[in-house]
Amino acid sequence: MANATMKMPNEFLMKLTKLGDKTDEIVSRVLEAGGEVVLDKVKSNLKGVIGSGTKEKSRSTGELVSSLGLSPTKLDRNGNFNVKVGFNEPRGDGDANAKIANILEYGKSGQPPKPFLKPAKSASRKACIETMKSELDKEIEKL
Amino acid sequence: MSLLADLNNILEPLNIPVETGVFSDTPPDEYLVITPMSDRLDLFADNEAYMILSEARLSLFTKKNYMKRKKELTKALQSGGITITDRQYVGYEHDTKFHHYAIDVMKEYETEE
Repeated sequence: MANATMKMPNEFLMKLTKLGDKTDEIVSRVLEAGGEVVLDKVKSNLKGVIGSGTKEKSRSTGELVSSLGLSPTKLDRNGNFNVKVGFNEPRGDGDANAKIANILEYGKSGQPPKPFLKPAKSASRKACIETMKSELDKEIEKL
Repeated sequence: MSLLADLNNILEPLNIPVETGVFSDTPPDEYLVITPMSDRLDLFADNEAYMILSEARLSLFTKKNYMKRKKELTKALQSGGITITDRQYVGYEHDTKFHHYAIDVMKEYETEE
């Protein structure tokens, strides 16, 4: 019986090995690129809602916007890498940025909500995925 | 049709005061506020958008147990063809004595000619 042996090109095999070795590094860079897209959208939405439509003159100090940032890539308990867009704590006045952001996002009785996170999530989803795809392609090209 | 018009039609039989944006009168013991969130164009072909994705947040404020209303709202919204993208108990407001529950909704519409 005839035998056929298929061999993958050495260059391709080397690239696969390198990709395996550098996965953590590449995933981290790709996630951060995507996170930056979401962060920009959240930041611009937040700037738009702070101080708008207030009953009294806004007392905004800019601390909430400046505390917004992107976390470094972390491995969660399920073994997935992720980055988070969130607020740095604590505030100078002792209050919590997350609490203020939550009141802005969901409102209170007598205070209308000014959603900035949810619209940013839906609006930046596609752009974030596309950015991560192109960043991954670039990283693979570099191998 | 628009999401706001659809929501108002769906919520009317539930006998709960509803307002868009902010509740202007003295609030009753139970009321709903609709906040429009996004109104994006989607499904592009031939340089044109064929769908509109509308999202809104329903904020339920009640001084009573919110569970019954939550179930009623969820059932009514789903039967009315609305997609629920998130439900969350925001918290109890000690100063106003209101329970605050948020339901995020979404619906797709074809763009009008």
